[in-house]
Amino acid sequence: MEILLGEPFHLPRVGDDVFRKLMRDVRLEYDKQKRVFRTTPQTDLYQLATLLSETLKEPVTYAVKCFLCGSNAGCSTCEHSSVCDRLIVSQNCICESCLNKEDAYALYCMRAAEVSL
Amino acid sequence: MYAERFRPKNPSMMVGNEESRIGFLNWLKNWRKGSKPALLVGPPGTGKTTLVYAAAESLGYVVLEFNASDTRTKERLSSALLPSTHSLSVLGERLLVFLDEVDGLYARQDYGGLEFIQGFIEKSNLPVVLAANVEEDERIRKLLPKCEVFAFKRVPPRLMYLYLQNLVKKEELKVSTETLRKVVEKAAGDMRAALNSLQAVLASPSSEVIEATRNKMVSLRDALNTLFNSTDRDEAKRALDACDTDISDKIRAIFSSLVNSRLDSSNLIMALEALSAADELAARIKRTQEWRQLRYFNSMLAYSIFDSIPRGSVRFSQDMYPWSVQLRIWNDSRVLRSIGRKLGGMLHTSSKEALLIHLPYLARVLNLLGKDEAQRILKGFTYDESELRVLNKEILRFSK
Repeated sequence: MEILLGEPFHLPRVGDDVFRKLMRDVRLEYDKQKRVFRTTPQTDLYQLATLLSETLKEPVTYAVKCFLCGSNAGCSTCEHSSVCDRLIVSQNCICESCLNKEDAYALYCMRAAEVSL
Repeated sequence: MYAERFRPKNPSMMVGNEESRIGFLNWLKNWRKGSKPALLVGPPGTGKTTLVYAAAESLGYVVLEFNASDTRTKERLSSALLPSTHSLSVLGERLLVFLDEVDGLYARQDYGGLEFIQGFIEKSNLPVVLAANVEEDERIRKLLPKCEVFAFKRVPPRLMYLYLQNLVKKEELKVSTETLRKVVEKAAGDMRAALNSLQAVLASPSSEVIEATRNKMVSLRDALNTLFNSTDRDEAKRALDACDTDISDKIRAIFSSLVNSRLDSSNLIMALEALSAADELAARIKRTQEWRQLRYFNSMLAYSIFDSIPRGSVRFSQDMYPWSVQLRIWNDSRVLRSIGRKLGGMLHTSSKEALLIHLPYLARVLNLLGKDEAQRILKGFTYDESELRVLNKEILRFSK
């Protein structure tokens, strides 16, 4: 299972005890109406991976999204993947195509200003 | 210093930790008297201090800062901060109180400082922002429920590269793409270290890109995960050295991580024996006040734990008991208390003593008597169905 950090995702029923642990210890966010989970900067990604892989019996991996276009930032092809630990870096990055734009940094700043308005 | 010269002046010019930055800006925009103070938690070089100054600048606040280089005793803090609780502005400028590195408050040098801060944040008329490097610190845990917490994580390398690439272009610096990549890689998500490293490379182009030029402090979680997963003994030791947590907390967290892991019994025994030896050393250091011996503590702990567990088999965990045991305590505690009350009443002891001392003997005796005889005796007690179920579980534990 791949979780896109900061983006909503569904889980099958995990049982009350695991759900409580996800909320209380792992600090995952849950939207009751849409019934979706979401990681936040406070989410303990180590514990989340351990708990979900034990509960769902499948490995859990993380991906980060591009702050500019919202797509998957493409960690598997990233030139920095050997030194980037997705468990300890913040939830957004920049994809290769956005990075290669002439004014990538200016676009990034504009996007940050837009969303904080 | 590049780290100061190129510090972003506006929150939108920073890179990484977007959600926390936006959350903090909204907190400051919507701050009203009585709002909770903000607590920014994250490793060094992730933009906590920069964000506070940039946000204050853009929203028209003047920052009143107290950092680790100030003495922060109760007297010093109260004389500086209490007048500000009565005045909302200075010369028409709004004030923001910023207490940086609150996890660096020391019991002796900063006597009473933390207690003062705890009281101050509850009655302050001004927005108060606290910053800390590690969340696991006992002092920070006390503050967490009283604050709006914004977690900061390390800056992803690609975003760091984007920032430095723009800087190099804007300032027309002569740095190759390859060198810039190395700077990013060595900085390990610490933007301040990356800027210092870039400055060092420009000052002496022939020199190798050095690792973070500022001593990096790592959280207990990161240090222990490096200790458990690193393939290099010295790296494991360096991680423990870089973690400024109390030695007892280190031992407690390693113990909790070991018992929650799926180590086989022989490795677990070896690791726990190594840990108990380190615990003895820690106790001796505290008892004799021979703090010089602390330098041996991290080496002993790191090397012995490193040698006793397979790489990657343990992860950091702060749960003192395995999840299965916690569940049992959680589910059975109410029933156990009621058993304790009844048993204590019969034996004329407290329920605690009944549970701790008498119940294990009773369970052991009933186990030796056999199932039928045990059930016959249990019927003589006034236990209900759920209590009998828990008692039977206790009895069964002795047969395993």
